Amino acid sequence: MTKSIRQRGYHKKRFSVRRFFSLNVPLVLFMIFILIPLVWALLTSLKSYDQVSGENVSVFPNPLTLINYVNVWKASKFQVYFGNSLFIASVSVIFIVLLSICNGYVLSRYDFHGKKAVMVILLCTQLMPVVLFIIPLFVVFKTMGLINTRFSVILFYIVQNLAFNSIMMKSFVDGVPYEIEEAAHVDGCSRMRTLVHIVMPLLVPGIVACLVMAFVNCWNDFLVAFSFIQKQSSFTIPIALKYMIGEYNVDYGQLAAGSIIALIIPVGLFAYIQKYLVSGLSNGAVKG
Amino acid sequence: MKKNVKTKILSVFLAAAMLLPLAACSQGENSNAASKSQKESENQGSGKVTLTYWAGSGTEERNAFLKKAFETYNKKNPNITVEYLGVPGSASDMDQKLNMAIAGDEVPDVVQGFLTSSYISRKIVEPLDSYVDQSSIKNDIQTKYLDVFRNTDIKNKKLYAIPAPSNGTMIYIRPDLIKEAGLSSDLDTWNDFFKIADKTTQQSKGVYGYIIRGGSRASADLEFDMYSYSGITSFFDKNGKCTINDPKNVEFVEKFLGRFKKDTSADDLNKNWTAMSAQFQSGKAVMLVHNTGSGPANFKAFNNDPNKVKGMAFPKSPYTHKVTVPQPTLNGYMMMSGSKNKAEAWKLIEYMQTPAISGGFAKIAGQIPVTKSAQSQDWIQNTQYIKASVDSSNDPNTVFTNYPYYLPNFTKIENEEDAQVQRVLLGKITAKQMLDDWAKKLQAEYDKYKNS
Repeated sequence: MTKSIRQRGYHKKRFSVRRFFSLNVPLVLFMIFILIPLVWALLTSLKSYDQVSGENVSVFPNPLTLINYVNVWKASKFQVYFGNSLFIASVSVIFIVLLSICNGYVLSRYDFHGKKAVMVILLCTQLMPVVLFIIPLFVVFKTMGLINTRFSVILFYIVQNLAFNSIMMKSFVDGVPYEIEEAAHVDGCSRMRTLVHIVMPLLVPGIVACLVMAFVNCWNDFLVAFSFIQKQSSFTIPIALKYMIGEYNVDYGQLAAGSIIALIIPVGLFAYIQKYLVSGLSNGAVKG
Repeated sequence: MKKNVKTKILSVFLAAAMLLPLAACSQGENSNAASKSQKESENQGSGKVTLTYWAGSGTEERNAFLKKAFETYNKKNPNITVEYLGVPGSASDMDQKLNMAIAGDEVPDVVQGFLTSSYISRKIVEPLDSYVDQSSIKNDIQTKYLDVFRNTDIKNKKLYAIPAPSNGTMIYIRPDLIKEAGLSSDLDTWNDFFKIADKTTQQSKGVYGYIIRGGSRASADLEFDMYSYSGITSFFDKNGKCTINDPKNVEFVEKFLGRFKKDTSADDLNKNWTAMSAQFQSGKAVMLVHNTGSGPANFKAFNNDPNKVKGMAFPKSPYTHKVTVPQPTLNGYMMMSGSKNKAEAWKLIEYMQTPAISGGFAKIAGQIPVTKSAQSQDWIQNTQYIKASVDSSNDPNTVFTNYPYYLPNFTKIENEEDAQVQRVLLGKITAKQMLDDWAKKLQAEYDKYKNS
């Protein structure tokens, strides 16, 4: 007779040497590999100049100092670039998520002529490198009077991220049983009300996954912002970090401090929504 | 039916709603950041001129200095407004940004950056001979500096940029470690360099005689050093034959790269300038061959102690007994041919060459100003490594090696040789094989250029 799960001890936390070496040790090593650069950057950001470069180089800051953060935020005007990045990423993500939900829903629920072609075109846009579009779009945006504005960058990010996120959202919508919508229709809900009140709450993991991926892409981009903006006060964080690398001189402490500041928003976002993200990505993987 | 109409109306409304903020906000942003062509048409007839000035290798320190300089300029010239942009990154980042501006017809009026033969062949930079002839700049800059820029246009010898502050190549040394080894830190010839390297290396302590740049731009650094050793001043002799694989150059490369893992550390294989500077600043190298740009950081690392750090000009060639240095970098002020305000742009370039601006910028950038008036400033005389570089460059016995930047693919070939330098370090090819191959490529490029 087969044993029950409890009898087989699957839920019992029992030390297993095999599990320890095949799972725990590789995970710890992988975590160390991932964390070392971050910890190094954090420690460097807390050191004074002579502890980073000079004969008194040390691994740990002694004494610990926040002067790099102060200099970066005030003297290097990081606050301006931080604000620009936050504005651009936030506005872009709002539109990307809303439009992806609409696109994903339509691709999942509707049958129309050319649907397969649309899907293929959306996929094909992901194969083209961004640099291919920069110069032609520069000319187009110039004609529209958008060059040197943050909205040229926002528009590009929306378009760049829409295809992939629409396809991803389609997978999540596919995972929502249509019977739920049918039940809502029977009860008198319109299509829009069904989408907003019934489907979207069930799509939260997918929406979070879409939001996070779009946000990180927009936050980290250098090339597009560098290309379309010609005014220093509208530059974003990645360009600000580039300013810290001089022609033949690098202030590593300030660069590390700038990098840590740049990480605050994405890390905070990930920490807050990680439970939705894990379930969202895995659900998408299974259903897609 | 009614539902379909409602849906369609809603869709149109939503689409319009999304476009509205775009128009409104672009309007708002445009009031502060109108395109260059818009501003030009607004200013037409009003006598007011807006000039755009881009400077490459931008840092916050340089940006702050130049912004202040332009604020002063704007106050002195009420009809001129200079809009400044510091472009961060390397010369290739500036190149990319400039190419985009050219494609979109949004070129700046003045660019402070590296002149390339590509800019000349594409006619995007304005020849400045007529402006220089009528300016006081002509007498304030040594002819040999102007000639370096003229050689970029090898056929017509026109001047397409005015030299801006630039980096001088030099060797930073540790006088204390050299003294401990019982040697003199006066490098007379390159042979003294190798003697010091052999005697001061202490592998057990992780201290090495010098550093090989094995990473990005390895070949460029090697060019500087080998031509300084051989004393050859041109990449092509009078018969048009490439000199890069001259036996004297081969001899140097064998000596210099041959000391890899003996007088230099094993990780030199991938080192770029940041790693090289870091090694020297942390006291793990006795000599660093670099330029004045890293001078501020190198001296700061040792608290400006003259016993611990010193900058020296390149030593003499053991063959010609002359100091041979690479020509100054082609870092200059260029007027774009698309500028609609050329007279004002030239006036701005003249302002940038005044001692206060030229010298002030050079000071924060660790560079050498080219004008005689700026070179006589106190800070230059009081900064050891800058004075050493200036004195060496201005010494009539110092000769420049002229680089064939007029060859369109010269830099491309140079970059391709980085991997070959690493192969020599790893012992996969010999120094002679590398230089012969390099010479073949340059010769082909030169012959193609001559026949075009």
